[in-house]
Amino acid sequence: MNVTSDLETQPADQPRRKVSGPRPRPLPHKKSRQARRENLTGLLLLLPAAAVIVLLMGVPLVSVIIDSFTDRSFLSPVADFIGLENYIEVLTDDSFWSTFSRTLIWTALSVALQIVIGLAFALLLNQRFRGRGILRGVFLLPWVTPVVVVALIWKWMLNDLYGVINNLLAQVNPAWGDLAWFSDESLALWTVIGVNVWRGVPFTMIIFLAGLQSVPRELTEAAAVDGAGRLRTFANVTLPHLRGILLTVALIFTMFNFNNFDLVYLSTRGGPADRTMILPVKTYEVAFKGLQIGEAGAWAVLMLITIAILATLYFTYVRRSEKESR
Amino acid sequence: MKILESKTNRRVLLLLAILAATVYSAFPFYWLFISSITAPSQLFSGALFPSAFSAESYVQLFSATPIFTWLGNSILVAVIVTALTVVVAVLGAYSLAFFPTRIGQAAGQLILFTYMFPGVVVVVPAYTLLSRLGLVDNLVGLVLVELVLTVPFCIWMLRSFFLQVPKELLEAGRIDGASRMRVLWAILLPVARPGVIAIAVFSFIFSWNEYLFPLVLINADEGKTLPLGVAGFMGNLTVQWGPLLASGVVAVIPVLVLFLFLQRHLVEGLMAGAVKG
Repeated sequence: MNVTSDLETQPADQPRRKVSGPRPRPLPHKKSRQARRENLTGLLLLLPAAAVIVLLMGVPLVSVIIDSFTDRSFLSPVADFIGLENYIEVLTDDSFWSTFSRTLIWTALSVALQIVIGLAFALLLNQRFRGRGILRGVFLLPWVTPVVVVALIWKWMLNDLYGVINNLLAQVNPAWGDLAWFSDESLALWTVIGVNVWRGVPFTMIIFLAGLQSVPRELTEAAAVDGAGRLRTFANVTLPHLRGILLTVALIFTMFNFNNFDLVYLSTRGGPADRTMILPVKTYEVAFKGLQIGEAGAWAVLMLITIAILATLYFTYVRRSEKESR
Repeated sequence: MKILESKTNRRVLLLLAILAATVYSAFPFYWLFISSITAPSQLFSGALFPSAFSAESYVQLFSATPIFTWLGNSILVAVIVTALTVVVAVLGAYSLAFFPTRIGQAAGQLILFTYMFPGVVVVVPAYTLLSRLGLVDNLVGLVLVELVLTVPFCIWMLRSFFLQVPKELLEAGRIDGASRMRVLWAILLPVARPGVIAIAVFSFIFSWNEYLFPLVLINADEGKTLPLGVAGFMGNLTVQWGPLLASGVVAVIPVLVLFLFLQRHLVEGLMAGAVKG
């Protein structure tokens, strides 16, 4: 508090940003010079970060877009402009729409389960019990683990010959012991989604936990005094309070899952028979297996367009529902 | 839901839920570790509590693969990425939190936006760019590219920590005649230390776990990072489960130790970013 009162006694021409209210202002000339110096400092400080992002994100992004209109490949040093040919090829390719819709299923299901289970875990950790801090750490483990180890663990546990889970399942029903989770064409996608959810849950959990702890205790207590049961308190007090956080998590995790490359690539490479092939893996394969930079660029740009559409839909929805609730 | 209103029922349900969630989260780690020290004779028996143990898998791992080179590479890359990220993010967040300019705010929005781009979109041109600079198969190249993963996230997280520091504190420092850099170093950083630790842990874990960029940028066996090495090992036609599981333990232990000691900061960072960001 001393700090503030000291400040008040200082002459008004001391450096200050955003003076609000009817305070004595310094001379215009002096102020603008001051402000300009402040601005310059601000920009200089931001320079290293901007350099990293422009050089390593901006430049590559622009060159992907340019490449997508050429026949550039790793096989030849020259590239010609070929207009929309790459796009026509990709969009008329049989695998495009199946890959596209599979990516949407993968994304939607992953996000939904990560949110539901993450919220359940957060509610659990929001209860009072001994050892809660340790448990919070344990619940977070899947998220700090390298994805390669996540894939390794689950491929080991779900191995159709000697996986521990298959062994346990076989005791319930012998046929279940032989389930080839990662290589059965009708199972693989659901298995990888399951692993993806396992890995993502800790992150959603911790964000929801932060949200739950910001729910004012008076609100839930008041609801309890009014005779509302726990479920009603949750539905009518807690959940509405979490609405903003829920929407943010939905957006961020839609992007995370839509962009996911490593888990799928490490556990199935998109197989068997492309049953787990999603857009990021496909783009990688076209570039580094097919060596077609131009065509990979078209896949990449189509991904970016999809992301842009999803983000626009999201923001339109958020804005409209905000208007309605007002 | 009458069940929930009785106190004993609630305690039993809570206990069951805790148990289920713990098994769900922790059993896979138990199983990885136990399997890696199970004697080869019992490795494929699927017993929940094996009775014969041996270090055979680790011996095989250490003799058959350059795992220590991979480990060294991973540590080197992660440490340098962390150091650079902290410097760049501290300066960037200082700017966004205390020197708001119109360009700066726009840049801030853009930084948040880059966070949504798929790595796979950037990786092809990044590869071409780095090969032109002669930085493919080079850890310097890898460090540079990984900054793009860590910097945006860390700037935003640190910014929310910085915004909690009262402006008056910094202004008092300026009035006492300290330069802006001195204020940052002597006043802001000590106050926002948990935030700095949080972003350091973050960058380390991000870099340690990263797979796509090393996959594309590193070809030579001796330049591989640990995830890349383990993945190559896993992709072999005849999977040798014993040493493979041991390599998984080696890859996970450093982050677990780090996490164990710094969990509180990491959680605080995530929560601060979540609620205020």
